[in-house]
Amino acid sequence: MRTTKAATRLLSGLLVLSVATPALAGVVTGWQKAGTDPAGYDVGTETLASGTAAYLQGLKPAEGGSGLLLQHFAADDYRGKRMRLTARLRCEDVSTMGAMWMRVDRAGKPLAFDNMMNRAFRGTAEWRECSIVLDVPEEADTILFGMGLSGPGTLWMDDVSFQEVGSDVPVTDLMQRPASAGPQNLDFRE
Amino acid sequence: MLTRIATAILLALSILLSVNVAHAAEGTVPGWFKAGDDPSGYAIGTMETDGGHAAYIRALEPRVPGFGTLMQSFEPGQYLGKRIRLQAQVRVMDVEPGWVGMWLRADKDRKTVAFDNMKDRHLTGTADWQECSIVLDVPDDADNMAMGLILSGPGRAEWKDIRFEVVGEDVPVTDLMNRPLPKAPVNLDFQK
Repeated sequence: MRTTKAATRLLSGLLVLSVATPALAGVVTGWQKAGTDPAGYDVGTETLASGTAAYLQGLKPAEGGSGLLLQHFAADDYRGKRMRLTARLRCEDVSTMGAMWMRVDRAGKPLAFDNMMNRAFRGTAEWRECSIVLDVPEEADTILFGMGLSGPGTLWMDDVSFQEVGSDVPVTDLMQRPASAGPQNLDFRE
Repeated sequence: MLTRIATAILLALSILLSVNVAHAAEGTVPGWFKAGDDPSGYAIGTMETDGGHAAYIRALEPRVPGFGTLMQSFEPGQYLGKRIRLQAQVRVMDVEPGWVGMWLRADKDRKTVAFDNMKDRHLTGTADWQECSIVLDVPDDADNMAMGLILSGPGRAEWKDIRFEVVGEDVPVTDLMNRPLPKAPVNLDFQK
């Protein structure tokens, strides 16, 4: 329940996100810091044995806020395509939730979106490969992606790739997902 | 004995005076104010430097998650429809990890319509005085302008010799807002 609430907060934070305030940019080249509480979060890069990873850390996060590390770019070259964002993520002491996310917009309104709310990071976890697959509609103008964190803890991201995939790869779009045919997980075993 | 006591009092007094002077210089910069998403993490002040006065913003702790800025805002009236340039000498000390930029913004109805914070050519670490420049077109219907020096991270940033003037069409604008989005994602391996 707590995770669902946090995910909803992160989700709503992402949906209202405006990138028209570039003054909040962080210190990762080509990426910027944003979210409902950017001051509560620190971003940067860290050189590890495996290469360079970016991190997002809740330093003094406000209750219910979120921090994001993101980049956005023109959708033109990706319209009509199914795109997959893949990266490796790990986390340490994440008390609420952390996740990778991707959004496809038209005029600042989301058309497709996934923030891994059903498979988010919590606590401390080793490197895990994560994927988000979204269809980019013909009317899309902007694609945004990155990682998000709500609450204290640190989230790392590495080996990011963004590739076209075939229609055989299922989309993970949370906005398109059909409602389930009936009640589910009534025994809470999922 | 009396002389020694008098000297001690004088010394104590002079220390107190110098402390007071230091406090007066830090905390306020007439015509400017402190802002940012974490202003309490930063202090502003003025100082004397080779050949004049400079203003600074410095982080109070070695690690600050937000940014602070020394800024002012003003009516755009005399600049409407014109191309303007902000220039200054900027230097940085121990800004690591983090960045410093001079910034300039034009607003309409509290929305930003032109903006550059030198994010693509920022200063970082420790670096001596360097000339920085921002050029923006001020839209005809702008109703507010603001400018400042931003410090995101630890350390200290100073600026001096600030110049603000109207320039010709031959000077290229540096506006970050009205620049087209990149056509593809960048720096996916975080090596830059």
